[in-house]
Amino acid sequence: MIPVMDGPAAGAAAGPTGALRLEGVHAFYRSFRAVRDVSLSVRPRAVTAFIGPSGCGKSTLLRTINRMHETIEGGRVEGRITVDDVDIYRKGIEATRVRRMVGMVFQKPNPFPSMTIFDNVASGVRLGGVNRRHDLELVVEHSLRRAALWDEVKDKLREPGTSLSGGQQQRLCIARAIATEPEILLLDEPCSALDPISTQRIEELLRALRTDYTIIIVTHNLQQAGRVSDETAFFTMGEDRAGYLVEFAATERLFTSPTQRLTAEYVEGRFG
Amino acid sequence: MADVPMDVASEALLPVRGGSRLLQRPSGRERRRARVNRLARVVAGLAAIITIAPLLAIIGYVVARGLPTLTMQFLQNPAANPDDPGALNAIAGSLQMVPLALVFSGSLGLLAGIYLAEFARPAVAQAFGFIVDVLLGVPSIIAGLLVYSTLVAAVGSSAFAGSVALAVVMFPVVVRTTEEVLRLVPGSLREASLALGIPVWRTVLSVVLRTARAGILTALMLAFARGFGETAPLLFTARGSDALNVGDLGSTMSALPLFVYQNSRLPSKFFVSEAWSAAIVLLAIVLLINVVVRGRSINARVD
Repeated sequence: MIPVMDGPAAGAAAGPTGALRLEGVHAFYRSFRAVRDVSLSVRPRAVTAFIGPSGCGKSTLLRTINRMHETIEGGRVEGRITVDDVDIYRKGIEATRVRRMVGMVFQKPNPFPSMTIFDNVASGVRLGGVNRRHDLELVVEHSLRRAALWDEVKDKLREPGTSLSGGQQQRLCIARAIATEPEILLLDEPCSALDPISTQRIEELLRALRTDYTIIIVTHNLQQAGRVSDETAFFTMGEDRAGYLVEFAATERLFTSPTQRLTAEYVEGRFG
Repeated sequence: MADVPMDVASEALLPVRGGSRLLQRPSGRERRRARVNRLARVVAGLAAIITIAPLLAIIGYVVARGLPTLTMQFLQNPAANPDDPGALNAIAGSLQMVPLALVFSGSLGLLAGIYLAEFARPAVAQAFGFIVDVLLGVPSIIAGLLVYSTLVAAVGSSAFAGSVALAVVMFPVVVRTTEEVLRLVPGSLREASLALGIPVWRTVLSVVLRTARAGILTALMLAFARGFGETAPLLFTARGSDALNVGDLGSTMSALPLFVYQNSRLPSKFFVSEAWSAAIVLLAIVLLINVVVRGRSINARVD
């Protein structure tokens, strides 16, 4: 048995661990409440899956964690979200700083078409003031290796990022996201636009990355949640069309012996 | 066999029993439809030919009328040359005033286009877009009058005033085209950039503008072509000048369209012919820019 991770207090003493806690989080689009009162503690250095039917607010919730929700006109968040015990919505904390600590990978691979593979990976780092060629090369190589893409692209770093296949593009986006050395990595249905083999490679990658990052993956695919995640949060939509957290537990427990009727029905495929 | 014609193959595949409906003679309705179809095709084809006819006619006529006086001297001498007057003053004038106007309208127009596409709320963008469209439709002589009644009234006729008047005409072209090409940049790229912790201003500069750079160049070239062909804004502002004016923006200056207009009114066959020659040069430059832009725009789309 693997011992349960240390609590956030122990982690804080040892430096950042990517401990993430949500307390009474609501997310709005103007007056519409898309997410209602979500509280959960995400296990650091593990993979957490957000599952649930379409429209249950799981992507919206994910986007509150790196403050991307507020980039949408009318997007608003209530409640508390802390990363290593610091409230990311506290006054005076720049959203850009939060986003550099909480990386994100989107549903559709979105490398910058005007940039080479190298520049794509380097794009976030350049901003942090790293501009020396040698340093950039180190970061790019390291990130591409971590994203299990280095061997495939090391001879064509000068080619456009969009010249790669869909699966490679998504790993390029993962490399780009981890180049800024985030503590937390958010993935919003990262495989839904990919073929099964590319999907498998991404899943393997996530298993490998969780030793260094706190990973949250939103997925529609229950099997995927079962394969990659350590813990799973199940969301559904209430009668007011706001998404809420139904159950949050170790993945195996949630799938085999859910405590909530709704969870049981969903994992058995009876709705959603 | 790979070479079996389609109809034979399908006959072999489809069992034809006695009178398959597919093999019956076409009905009157079907024959009439086929006739109407042929007729419509011919009419549409003719209409297409008619639309390109004016362009060909213009090119042919202008070249035929202007070619005799389109000599090296024409390109090398200013109109003030007493022995062998040419159009260098006009060519040089256009090449000074239009680029300067592009600096004014391009810098301001790019910023306005960026604002409309990236920062303005939808309602504001719509209102501003409408105003820009109106500006786009304002007759260019009004732009000339505006500058005449303000700048020229204050400091007199000058190439600088001409540039400003041209800039007024070119500005909405830059704004609109910039806005349109920026809107073609997928939102997912902005999201990707913001999610990397890249601030909005830098996202616009290094992701959005960079992705749309081909389109932006198109916007600037279109504005350049527009300004290059304008006569009216210069009539009361730059006024025209027979002498070669290089660099003196405080004095009057000629331009190719202005040269065409002014020469065509002179009572001499030679000067009128020179107007046609200038028209060839003008047409060649404007068409060249347009062809380059259209050719580019096929590749300029954002993928």
